[in-house]
Amino acid sequence: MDRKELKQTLRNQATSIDEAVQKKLACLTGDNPFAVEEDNLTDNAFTELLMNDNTAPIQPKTISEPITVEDKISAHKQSLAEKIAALRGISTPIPSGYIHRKF
Amino acid sequence: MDEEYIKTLSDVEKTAFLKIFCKLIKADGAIEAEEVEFLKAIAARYGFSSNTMVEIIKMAPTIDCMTEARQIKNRQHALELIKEMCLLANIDDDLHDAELDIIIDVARVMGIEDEKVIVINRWVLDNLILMKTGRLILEKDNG
Repeated sequence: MDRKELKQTLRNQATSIDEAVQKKLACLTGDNPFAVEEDNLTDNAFTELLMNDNTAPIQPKTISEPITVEDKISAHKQSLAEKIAALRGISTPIPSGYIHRKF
Repeated sequence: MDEEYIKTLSDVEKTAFLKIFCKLIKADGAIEAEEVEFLKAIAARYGFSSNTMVEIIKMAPTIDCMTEARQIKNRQHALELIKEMCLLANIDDDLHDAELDIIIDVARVMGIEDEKVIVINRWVLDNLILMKTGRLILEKDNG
């Protein structure tokens, strides 16, 4: 590797430690619930919010009823919550009346 | 960080390590409190007395890092040296060009790949961040 390139790479890695510490602290203390831990899905505070989402379950729809954007978002959130739960090795409560549909 | 490696270092290697650390501290022309603390702590862990440390510091201008680095034949020890150098260089939150030059030169003399240096430096930084966060949480000092 070119020396100049190596030095620049090492320099780029050394972003402000104090800033990184504050960010880490914010994640740990929950001051920023939307703070994202880099490459660490299981500690993501946002996933906690998703898991505890109290959105009312979508009501079953008949074939003739159109599927709205909101339906898709709810289904996606439920699907995502299940995937996250699987990663964390816990089960998620399935809201009653929910019909798992592929969109 | 794991310090088991210290038990495996010879006296010659320990002296070489400390001489290189001294040279690194003086590289950017400014000696920060954290760097002095690091040097004192690591000298104690290596079993060096204060007098010995003073002697090594006095000879800093005449220390040739390449000559010292060539005494490190064991790859594991070489990697530990790079790790400690990265820690020392980053501990004052100011990475100087001269410090980088010394780290790169020492690594290349010991046959440590540039890519390995990059990975070690990243790991050291992650540990520094965790350590400072812990100190804040435990209210030990300002971080």
